[in-house]
Amino acid sequence: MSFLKFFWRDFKSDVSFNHFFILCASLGIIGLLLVESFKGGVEDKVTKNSKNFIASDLSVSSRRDFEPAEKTALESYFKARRLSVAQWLETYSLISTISLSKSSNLETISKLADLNFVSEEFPYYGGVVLESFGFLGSGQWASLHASPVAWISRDLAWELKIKSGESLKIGEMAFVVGGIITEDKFSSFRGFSLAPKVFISTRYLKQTDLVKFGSTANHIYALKISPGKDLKKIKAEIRQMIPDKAIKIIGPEESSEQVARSLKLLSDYLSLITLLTYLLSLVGLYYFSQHFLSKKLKTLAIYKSLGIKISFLFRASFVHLIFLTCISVLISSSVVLILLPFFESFFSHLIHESILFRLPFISLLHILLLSLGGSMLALGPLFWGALQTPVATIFQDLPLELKRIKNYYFIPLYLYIVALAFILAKSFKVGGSFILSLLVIVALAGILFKLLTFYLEKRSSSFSFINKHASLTVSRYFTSSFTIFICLLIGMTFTTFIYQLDGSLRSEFTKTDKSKRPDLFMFDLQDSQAVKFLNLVSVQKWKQTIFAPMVRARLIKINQNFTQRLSQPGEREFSTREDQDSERMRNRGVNLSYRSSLSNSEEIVEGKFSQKVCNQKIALCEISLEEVYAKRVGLKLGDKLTFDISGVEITGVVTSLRKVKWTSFEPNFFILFQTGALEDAPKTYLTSFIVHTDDEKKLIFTKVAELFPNVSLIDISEIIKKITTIFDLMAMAIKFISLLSLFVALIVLVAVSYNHLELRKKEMTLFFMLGLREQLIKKIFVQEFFILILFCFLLSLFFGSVLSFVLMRYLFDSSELLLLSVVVPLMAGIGLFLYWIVFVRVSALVKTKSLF
Amino acid sequence: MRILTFFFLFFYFSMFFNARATTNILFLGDSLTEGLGVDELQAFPRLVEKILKEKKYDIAVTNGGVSGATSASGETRLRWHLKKKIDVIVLELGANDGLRGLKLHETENNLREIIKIAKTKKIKILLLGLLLPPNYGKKYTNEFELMYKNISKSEKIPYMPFLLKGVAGVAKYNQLDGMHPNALGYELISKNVAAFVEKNL
Repeated sequence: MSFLKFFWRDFKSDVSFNHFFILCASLGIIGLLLVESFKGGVEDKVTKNSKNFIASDLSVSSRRDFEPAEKTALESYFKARRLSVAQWLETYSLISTISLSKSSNLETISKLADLNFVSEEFPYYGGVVLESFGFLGSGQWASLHASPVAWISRDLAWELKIKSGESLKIGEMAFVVGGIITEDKFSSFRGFSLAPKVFISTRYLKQTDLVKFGSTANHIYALKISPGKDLKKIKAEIRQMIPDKAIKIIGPEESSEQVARSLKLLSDYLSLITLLTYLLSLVGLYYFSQHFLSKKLKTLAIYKSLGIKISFLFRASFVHLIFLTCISVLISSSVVLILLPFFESFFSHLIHESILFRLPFISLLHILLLSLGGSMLALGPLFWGALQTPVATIFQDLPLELKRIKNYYFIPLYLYIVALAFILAKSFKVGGSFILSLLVIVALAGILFKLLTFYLEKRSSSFSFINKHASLTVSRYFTSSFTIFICLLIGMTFTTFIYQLDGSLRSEFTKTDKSKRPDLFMFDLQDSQAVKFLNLVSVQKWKQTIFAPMVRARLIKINQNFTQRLSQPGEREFSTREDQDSERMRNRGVNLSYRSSLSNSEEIVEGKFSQKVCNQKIALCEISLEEVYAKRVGLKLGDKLTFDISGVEITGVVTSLRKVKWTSFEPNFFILFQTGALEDAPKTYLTSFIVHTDDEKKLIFTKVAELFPNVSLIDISEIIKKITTIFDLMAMAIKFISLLSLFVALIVLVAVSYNHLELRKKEMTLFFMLGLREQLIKKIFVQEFFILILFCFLLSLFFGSVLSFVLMRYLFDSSELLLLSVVVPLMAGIGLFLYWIVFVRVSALVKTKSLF
Repeated sequence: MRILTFFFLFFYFSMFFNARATTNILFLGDSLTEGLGVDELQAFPRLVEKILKEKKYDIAVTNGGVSGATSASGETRLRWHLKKKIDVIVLELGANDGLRGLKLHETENNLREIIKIAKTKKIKILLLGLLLPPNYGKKYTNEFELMYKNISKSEKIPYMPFLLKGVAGVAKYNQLDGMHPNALGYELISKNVAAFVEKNL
């Protein structure tokens, strides 16, 4: 018989196996494909948003003017690499309205503006929304360069009391207001702009006479890099050409530190989930194949007795697996391709911005290879072991078990999983820790399961008949019980882990409550102005989020040791940004504040926050530190910190560490003193407002400018809207993918349970033949499963939580959160669901009373 | 015996005089005084103290610089410092007012208020002048420069026209932000300020 003919006949005879394999593998692969396309979509969206901040793929910028040699080198390089370049110069200047006639009584109004001189190529990404013109993106800025016009932000138009078509003076030149900007996509999170933006063509830069020796400006080359070109390589080449760190080379990922960190967290999380989803489906496949092969042992023995060689049979099995995997990939890809447009429209609707989920061919190929590799390495050894079964098995009546599989058959699979962990996690640290944790879990689970069976066997004599039988079955059929136990346990542990991680990570991007997001940020209100200001707020009924005193100080001693490290004169740069940050953290001035209570965005993670008033004569005042700041500076509870506040030293002791949710956008501080310590120190106040209408915003701007001219008021609503859109998307991505993994886990767990019961069908009938009532048989099997599920539930909670705790704390550098209030009911629900499935299935199986 | 008595009295009064002669100098300013981005010991007030002490002046310097401070905060901060004995105030405020485009008559009023308090307390006051970068526009930068001149003239106080002379705009003397001097820049500034303070002590 030809190989193909044999293969096809054999393939057709295993219908149920084929169906389950395709179902289980497809679910796993659908999970992988969705995670992959979703990850791509979110990353793409975040990258696009980040590109908007720099209006390009890469920006080369400097706070000083480029030296002629640097300019030549850069421009030659851009030309040689055929990179499109836009010139962008950002500077601050006072701009003013123009009196129509000298006799006019109208006084000119001057305001500080953030001037942006841009060349015709600008912008490559992002754009502005102009009142009565709409959004103007790449290639739509021609009118800005056609004549001396300025596009000015709406806040500035309010402050200058100017409209479109009217004139204003910028430097030495008059411009006509060509448009009022209602929204601009370039505002980055790197720092708030101190003044409203104005866009002007670089053509008029010289005439304004603003930029010359001594001027402070940010000189930027904004580069567009075509998709085929390697951004990292270009960055490295430019850096090699210009080593001076004063020249910043910024790609989309660095355009926002906060977004980059969040994106990394999300990417790490999604990679881990990809691995987990895949391993879950592999667990299901493994378990089902084991069951299938146990049933097929006799058929295989018959084949062998007919003289068919093991290698021939193995080849047939091998092709069988490849064939099934390919069908699964084909089905899952089709399902995903059909589903993606629906997901796109659903998520686009949720975030009010379009998002594109793609499934590139290369991802499909990766997933096909991944699936083939997993199937071969996990199931191949099972098939090989099954083929080793002696021919004499044909004459055996009892149910057969796969006993000829050696543990070392799975070494390639273990290595494959380790490699996958490293590749998918894209980090030795994350991948390694994950694998190590998995090994520890399996080892511990083995020991604990052995102890459980030992205990059940010992104590079974004191149990009722049902419990005794259930307990003894668990201990006597150790191998099969342990297999289902470990499969259930891994499934449930992964689910616990995913949900712990999901909760911890989502808290990083928690959707900020729109009603609590500040729109205006105000600072530099003087102590002497505080009462007058608060009265104004009260009369006008403005909504403040917080009103915080800020005391400038310098950390001079930690536990009586001076903090300062003297750098040598001329030492201008640190070797890395991290070195610089770390040194500055210790060395620089700090902003202190004091409060008797925590804000909504704060939570104590260590120690105790003092709400009492400090009495310096009795004891040192207590200090609460933000946990990341404490870590960076190397501070811990009990440390005594001495600050120099305008020449006066004050010492306090660290008594608590706080986690601050910076994404709440509430003004917050690294260092908080107990009340009673800093009240007399020179201080300023900062606050933020929530505004509901443009008129209210305009009123605040006008009143504050009139009554408190020294105070700075910044509109942050646009920036916050941008950052929260990204965070909301990330939070949704995590939630969605966790739900998907839960779905895969449920299918796998149900399938594993079903198959285990299938194996025990004959045993049930035997009980029936021995005279046991149906009800009793049901109770025995349900009870046996109850023991397994309960044990799995408890252990999975423990292992999943520990795994999440370790990963969050040591790898994701995030404060760990054990969300037991979410995970316990969830896992209990899954446990009950499985119990119910088993109950229904056992009832059905008992009724069949079939030995065959 | 007379000679001995004379020497004894001379020595005694010299000691007494020296003990009483420690001059407390307060540098009241913003980030330029505070030394943003460098150690406090490398900021110019501490270096001025070092230079003058090397020249045997008996002085004690307080660095009252606060980053981001505008002239509006000067009065409150001065009152905080007046809890201690102050003999000389070196006033360096107004840069942030200018950089934030605040109305200069407000800045001028604030500076005059500080000077008034100092005069009331019989404290000698020295004014450090500043210039704004040209990108702030000719009119505003000229008015800003003139403001210090006017204050100095009408209040009759010593005035150093530009604190960052020789430092502003020169990359090697500034930090990466192009605004704040580095350790090298502060060395240069401190020499100029020390000479100015020494001349007016």
